[in-house]
Amino acid sequence: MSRRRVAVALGVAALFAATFLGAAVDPSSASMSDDTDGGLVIPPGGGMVPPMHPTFALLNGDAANVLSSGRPVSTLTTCDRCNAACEHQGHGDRLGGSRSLVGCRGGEDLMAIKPVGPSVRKGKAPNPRPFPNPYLVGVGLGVVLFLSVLITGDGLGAPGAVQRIWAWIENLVAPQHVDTNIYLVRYAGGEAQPLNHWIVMLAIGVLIGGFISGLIGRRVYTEIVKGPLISNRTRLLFALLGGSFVGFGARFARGCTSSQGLTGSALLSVGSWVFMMAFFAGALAAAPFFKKLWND
Amino acid sequence: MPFPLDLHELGTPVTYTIFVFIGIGFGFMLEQAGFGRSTKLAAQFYFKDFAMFRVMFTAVITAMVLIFGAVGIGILDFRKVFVPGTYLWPVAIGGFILGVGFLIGGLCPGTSIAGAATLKIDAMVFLVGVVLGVFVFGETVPYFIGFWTTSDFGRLTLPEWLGIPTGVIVLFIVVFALLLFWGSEVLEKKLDGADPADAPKARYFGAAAIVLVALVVLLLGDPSTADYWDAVAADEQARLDSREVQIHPGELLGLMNDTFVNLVMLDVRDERDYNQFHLRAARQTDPTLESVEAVSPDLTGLAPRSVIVAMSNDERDATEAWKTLVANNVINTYILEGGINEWLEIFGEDADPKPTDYPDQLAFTFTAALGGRCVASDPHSDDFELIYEPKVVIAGPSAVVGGGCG
Repeated sequence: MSRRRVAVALGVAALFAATFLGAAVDPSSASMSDDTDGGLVIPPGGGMVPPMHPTFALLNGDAANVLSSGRPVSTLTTCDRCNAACEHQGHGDRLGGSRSLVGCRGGEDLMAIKPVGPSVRKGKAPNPRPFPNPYLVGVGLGVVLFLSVLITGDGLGAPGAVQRIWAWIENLVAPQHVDTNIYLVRYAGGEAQPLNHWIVMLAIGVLIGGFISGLIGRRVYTEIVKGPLISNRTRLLFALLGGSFVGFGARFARGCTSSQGLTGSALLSVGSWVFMMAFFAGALAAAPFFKKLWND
Repeated sequence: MPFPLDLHELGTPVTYTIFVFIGIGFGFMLEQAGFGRSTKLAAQFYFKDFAMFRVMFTAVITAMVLIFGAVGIGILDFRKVFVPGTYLWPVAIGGFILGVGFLIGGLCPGTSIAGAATLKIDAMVFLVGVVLGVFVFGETVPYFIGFWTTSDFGRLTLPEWLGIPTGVIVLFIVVFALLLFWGSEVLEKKLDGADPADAPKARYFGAAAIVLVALVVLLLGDPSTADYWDAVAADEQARLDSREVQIHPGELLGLMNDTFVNLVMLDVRDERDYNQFHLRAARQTDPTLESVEAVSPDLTGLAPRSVIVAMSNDERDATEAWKTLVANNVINTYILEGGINEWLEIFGEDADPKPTDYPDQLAFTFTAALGGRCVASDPHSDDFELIYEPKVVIAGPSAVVGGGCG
């Protein structure tokens, strides 16, 4: 038993050590060798560094490149401004700051976009609608939270469901272990049914609600959402890593961004406001080290 | 106060249906906000997209004014609402770890479910990571369970902590959030060249509306014990009148000797009488409303199978204390029938009776102030043959226990 615990502890230590080492290494270095997003493109004009992924030239009606730099632009930038994940040229190019000229696919009528590199996607390209105004969505989310508190006396949350599903699996595999673990025993010890809890129902609802919203917004399609400078593999690796930090942190803080952050803050819990500040501090502190993950 | 609904009474199928629908609303809003997309969430921390901050804080202030508005007009019993407990250091450290993970992974557990619902592969992988983190926590927490349970302040809200009325805090947070929104728009214009004039004008009306509701919350004020009593008076006064809650001294003696019951005896006589004589292990509190209100929070979070018995010399003060306790959500509360005077009549073999001039006066004299050291303070139950009708029924907690991530 004790040897097993030591092994687990070592494993955890290794995971965290790897994480911090990984954080110190420039994330983009991992992406150099395994780019999967398409072939190299030598842009017209040549002499430039080949871009890492398919690109478009921005042409006006006279087939002249509209960018003063003349360089092709990435197809894989997720637009921060219009929130769309469509293939379009990032606002990063600025175009003299005139945002209206550069849009998502809706902007095609304004400007001819001619692919000069191989297209990533096969079949019909996704055509997502822009997201509604954040203040408006915030009010909607606040009303949902209010209704939850009003009707059930409890707020919103998610990792509890993950914890319970996991305790259920662990209980199937190693019931004795669950019964002797001081933490897991309350979820699945003895006769306890870990899945028989409202938070699991809430998670199922989130899945359904997210899907409905995605359908309305035409955003249901397989995609790896990532920054333009990293490969799919890098993104998924960091998603796994970030997820495990979040899972660990959420249990440590006894709540996640939804339960401690949203619900607890709305209920004026002192701990929840501490959580909010620590959360934003953690994310802001980490931001400079992971610039490559999210920026172009 | 009809809300929150009693979920135990509604039954599992109804409860679960309610939660699925709340989840649908939650997931819908998360996806509408764009929170299924990691890039959009992470962009907040590079000040390229303020949607995450705006959605979160708008949701917080909207829910806050609605919740405390509902509390203020008396349709929601805030004491029955689950408020995440304050474990100061674990919350701070856990929050920081979560923040770092959020920046690396670009999502949080709720948003990753919404992301997975729209087939975002990274969100699904992120969820696997969450499972991994949860697993690691479950396996390692025995090593730091001491720290994890440290600095426990229990259910602590900002108004309780600061001693400021709820309405003031609510208004302050609303104004503060609006200032931050304004700041974010200024920042956005500076960094990204976005023109705030492009944003819908309706947001000014929204801001005005939310300030207005916050002002209403401030004007309504915190509900008092009297308000809470009014809400439950219909049922509880009937229980008082039918003497369902006045327990015979013999039953109290039985409870005192019952090791399976956590008995709290609340003696609401003044200190002079208490020092003369009191039941062993009884706790003294002045009979004033403020004193009884002050002990109520200690009595709401007791262990299961707890029983609280209020007592005075007869029943007058004990009944008032009982009302205060019940109004403040203390469950399994009873009154000692006939009070200390009847107790001494039965058990006080060496106490001298004296005539009383006014109600709720001690009707016995003592040669010395022995307090809880009299024989009658903890009599032997075997020495007395008492016939009484048992009334104590130990109920489970009525409030929702658990919580967002429980």
